[in-house]
Amino acid sequence: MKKLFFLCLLTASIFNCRAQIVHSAEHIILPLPKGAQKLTAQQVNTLTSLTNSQAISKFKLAPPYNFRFDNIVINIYNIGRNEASNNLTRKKASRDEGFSFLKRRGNNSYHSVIKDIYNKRALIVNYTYGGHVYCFVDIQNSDKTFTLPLKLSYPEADSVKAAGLLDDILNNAQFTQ
Amino acid sequence: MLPGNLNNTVSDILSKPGTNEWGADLRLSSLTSRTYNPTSITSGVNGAWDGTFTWNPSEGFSIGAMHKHFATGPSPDDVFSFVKNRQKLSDIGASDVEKQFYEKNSYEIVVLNNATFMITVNPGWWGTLKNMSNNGTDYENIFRNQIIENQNTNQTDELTASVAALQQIFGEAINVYKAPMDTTNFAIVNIDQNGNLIIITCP
Repeated sequence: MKKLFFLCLLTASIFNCRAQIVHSAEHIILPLPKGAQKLTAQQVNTLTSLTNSQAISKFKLAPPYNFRFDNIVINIYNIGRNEASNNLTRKKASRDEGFSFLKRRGNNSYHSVIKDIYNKRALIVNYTYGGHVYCFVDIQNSDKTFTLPLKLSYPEADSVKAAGLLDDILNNAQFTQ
Repeated sequence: MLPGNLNNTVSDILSKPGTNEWGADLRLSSLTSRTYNPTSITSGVNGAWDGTFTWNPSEGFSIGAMHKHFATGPSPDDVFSFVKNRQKLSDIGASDVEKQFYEKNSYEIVVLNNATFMITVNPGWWGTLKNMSNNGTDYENIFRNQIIENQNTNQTDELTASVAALQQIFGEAINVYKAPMDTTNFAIVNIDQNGNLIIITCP
């Protein structure tokens, strides 16, 4: 019981210290840093500063949950539960193949890894293109039954800040089931 | 018209182990007889296979090409190969009849372990594709992003997400066909509102 109380206290402390916004959705609680602003889909679609690719793309980004922390845009999707969502090894392999076009064009920035983080796993894929960093993350529970995809995109100059933000998210994300 | 031995070439390509793409140029021996030269498969370089376009009676007329992908369907680079080849016809001074022949009959095939995809260009869209190809690397980047976007949104596998991404980028400019493994029964594929592949069979 004492341990449980301590754990609750610790968790509350972490959220209070690190985050003012807590993204809470089905099966997951995700702390976001102090100063993060929630964006509407319309606001996301009017962001003009991200990448050259997006400038010529006719697509509109509209993930269900979107935040901005300084120059870092954070897109959060719904939890996936099926085989296609939960097979991180397969996702990594297909992304490694797909983004190999970067290396063939002299861009060696692509990196992918599957990490164990406490009672979670995460697939992290990132690369730099046109002066911006794209970071795709899939956070998975220990039973490998739920996977939360999210995306961080930011100017290359904000890489250190973004790395700290991602560490915080990965360390403090909690699956509630 | 596809080569009569297409299935054998598909099998040859799939039989190659490793992570390097293999592929084959599909060359007509003449534009009038529409018969194919013998096909031999070649290895890609640094993972990716690129065709060698020829357009003469001695080496053959490259009307199509096929190569292996491991997880995803045809990519923007595959679409833009039509534009590159069409430009080569201009560069070598091919006749208008030959250019029209290429535009009307060319195709690209992508072979996967569980299905084969073919893409063609719709008439009237060559100029659009040529303009898009000026930003070819950007479109490849958009495509790879959009695959993940589709996977994350629709919770579909990477192959389905990639076909959706290709159609989102190129729309009516291209046709995408799919044939079950070991067949050449190509049928048009499209994407439904949930991001799933649907096969449109002819009545």
